[in-house]
Order: sequence, then structure tokens, then C-alpha cells
Amino acid sequence: MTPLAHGGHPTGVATTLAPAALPALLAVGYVLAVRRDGRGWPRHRTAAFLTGAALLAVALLPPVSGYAERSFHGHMVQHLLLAMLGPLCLALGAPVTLLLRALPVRRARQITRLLRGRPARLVTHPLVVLLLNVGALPALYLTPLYTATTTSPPLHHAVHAHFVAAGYLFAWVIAGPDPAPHRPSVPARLVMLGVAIAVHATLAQLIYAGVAVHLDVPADDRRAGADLMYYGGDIAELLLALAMLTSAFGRTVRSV
Amino acid sequence: MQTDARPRLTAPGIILGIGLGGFLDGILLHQLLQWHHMLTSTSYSADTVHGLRINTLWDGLFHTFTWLAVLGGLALLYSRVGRDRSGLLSSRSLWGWVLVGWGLFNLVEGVVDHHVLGIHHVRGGPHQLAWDLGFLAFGALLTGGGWLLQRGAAELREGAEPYDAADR
Repeated sequence: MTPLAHGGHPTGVATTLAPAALPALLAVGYVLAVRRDGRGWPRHRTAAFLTGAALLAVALLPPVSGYAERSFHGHMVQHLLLAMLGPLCLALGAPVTLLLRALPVRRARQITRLLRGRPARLVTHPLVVLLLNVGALPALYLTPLYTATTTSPPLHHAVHAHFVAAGYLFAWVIAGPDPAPHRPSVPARLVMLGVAIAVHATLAQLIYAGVAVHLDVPADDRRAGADLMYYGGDIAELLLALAMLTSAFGRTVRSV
Repeated sequence: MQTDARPRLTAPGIILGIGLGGFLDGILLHQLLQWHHMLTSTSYSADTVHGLRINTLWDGLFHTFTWLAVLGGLALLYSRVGRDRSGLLSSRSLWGWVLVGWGLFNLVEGVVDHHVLGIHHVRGGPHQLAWDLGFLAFGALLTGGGWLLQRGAAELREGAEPYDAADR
């Protein structure tokens, strides 16, 4: 990709830092809501959310994003941060619960109604969650889509947005701790986790072997990326399983 | 009943511990340190493409086994505990049994794979027997420590820990 032509340094700095603006905005909003909350918001929740926002920012800033443009291994680093570790930390910050506590009762009720509604029921259905989350992986690596994202910036950003959103949805439904009125039962969530792990690991193996994948990258780079996907994915999924343990068996945060 | 408060966590704790111990072995020893793969002490060495392929397949099977143990352990834990769960995560009993499971993983994997079948060693080379025995000793230590931890939970049971209390 050729760098955009721009004049002075200020614009350069602004363009460089721009991708981190959204995570930074989320972090500021969260901290403001925590400060308004008079009932003692748990500190570990704040720490989790800020860690999540920081992981997203790191993934989008030049050291990592530049590396991701140059290599497939770099893309996997970004993938792990944007789709797995970042969203998990954000979800563990229980932002919806915090929002419900910060908003006036009438607004909070509207959000609760939204969570109980039909669209929320559809989006948190196990099959839909799996399709959006791990279903996107074959679509990216087994079709020419990945190669297309390396040349089209809008597509590139769309895939990133999908990574974050689908990763967050998965972490929220599986591990909470935010309310999800239509959340599947614990056994169903364990099966979902098992399916996600199997698809993720199988795809990592296919990428490693270079079978059935559409990846126009050097073999060494492809294998290094696949290795990271396989073992990094394990660690992220194990963390998710432990997070589920704490939310399914631990105490929940009181919402309103 | 006080007497059935403890044994309920034995099986889920041990299964979960076996899975987590397997993970640590798989991620730390196979991947990060690359000390061994499943079959590196057989004719399938990791130095040939074919050998590496077979090892990848067996590492994959091992991977499946560890995941099934983790998810199965969680499922069993859930079926035993259900909604009646306050204090479960801080219960010494659960984590004691998890340690026992991790230790048992090392003991069984060590005896069967390293000593009986000899398909791989913790770290192949001149001192492989010492590494293998150290692996077993670590397993025995974990099993013993876990056992003591969950026994301590039994003595503390009255009132101190909600999960292990008599009303569960």
C-alpha cells in the first residue's frame, strides 16, 4: 500500500494515531461512568476493560498494524488481539452492567428491553454466534477474501470490525458477566466452545499444511502464522473457559 | 450432609486438572520449548517431513484429548454443582483435586509414554532418564500437595467455606 500524501507532521501523527481513537474513546467513557457510580464498581472490572481497550489499541497502532501488512504472522498477531484477547477483556469489564447503573432508570429500562427483545434473542442463538464467530474464519482463509483485504482498505477495516464485534459477541455469550436474557445454558455453551475450538484448530492445521487455503504468502510465514493461531488460540480459548467458570459458578455483579 | 460435600468435587476436579496439566505440557514442552513431540523417540523423528507430519497428527490427538478433559471436567462440575455454587471458586477442595489431576497426568503420562512405551522423553539426550524421573517427582509432588490441600478443606469445613459447609 502506498502511504497517503500529506503535508506537515501533525497530519502524519494524526493519521498514525487515528485507529486507536475508538478504543481510547471507549476507555474514557468507561472511566467516566465508573467515576459517576457511587456504589463502588469492582476494580478488577475496570482493569479488565482498560486492558481490553489497550490490547485493541496496540493491535491497531503502527508497530503491529505495519507488521500485519508485511507478514501473515503479523496478521495473526493482530487477529489474536482483535478477535480473541481484546474482546474477552472488554467483556469481562461488564460494560453493559456499568451502563445500566450509570443511566437514568428510564433509559436503563430501554436497554434492558432491547436485550430481552427478539433481535437479541436471534444474535445470541448458539448457531448464529458460532456462524458469526468461527464461521467467518473459513470465509476469510479458504476463499480469496484474505488476499482481497490486503489490497482494499475498506474491506480490511470491515474485516477488523467484524473480528472485534464477533469476538465480543462470543465472549459475552460464553463468559458474561453482563446480562444476556437469552444466554444459552452452561452445557450448550460448553458445546459451543468445543465447536469453536475444533474449527479454529482444524483451520490452523489446514493453513499450516497449505491445504485448501487461498493464501498468497511465503510458506515459512504461513506456517509461523498457523502455529501462532493454533497455540495462541488455545491460550485465548482456555482463558475464555476459565472466565466462563468464574461467571457460571462465581458471584455475579448486581446490575440495577 | 457433611460427608458428601467433599467427594462431589473429586471427579470434576481431577478431570479438569488432567486437562490443564496436559495443556501446560502441550503448550510449554511441545510448542514453546520444543523439547519433544508425541513420538520423537520412535522411528518418526521430528527431523523428517514425514516424521513431523505423524507427530503433528499425534500432537493433534493429544490436543483433542486435553480439550475434551477440560470441557468434560467443566461439564461434570456444572452437573454436580448446578446453581448451588457460592464460594465454589475459592474452595480448597476444588483446587486441591485439580492439583491431584495435574499430578496424575504427569505420573500416568510419564510412566506410560516415557518409561513403558518409550515413545518420547521429556528432554531426549544424555540425561533423559534424569528429566523423566524429575517429571515423575514433580507429578508426585503435585498429587501429594493437592491431596493435602483438599484434606485441609475438610477440616476447615465448618462455617469457614460456604461451598464445603454442611448445608450444601
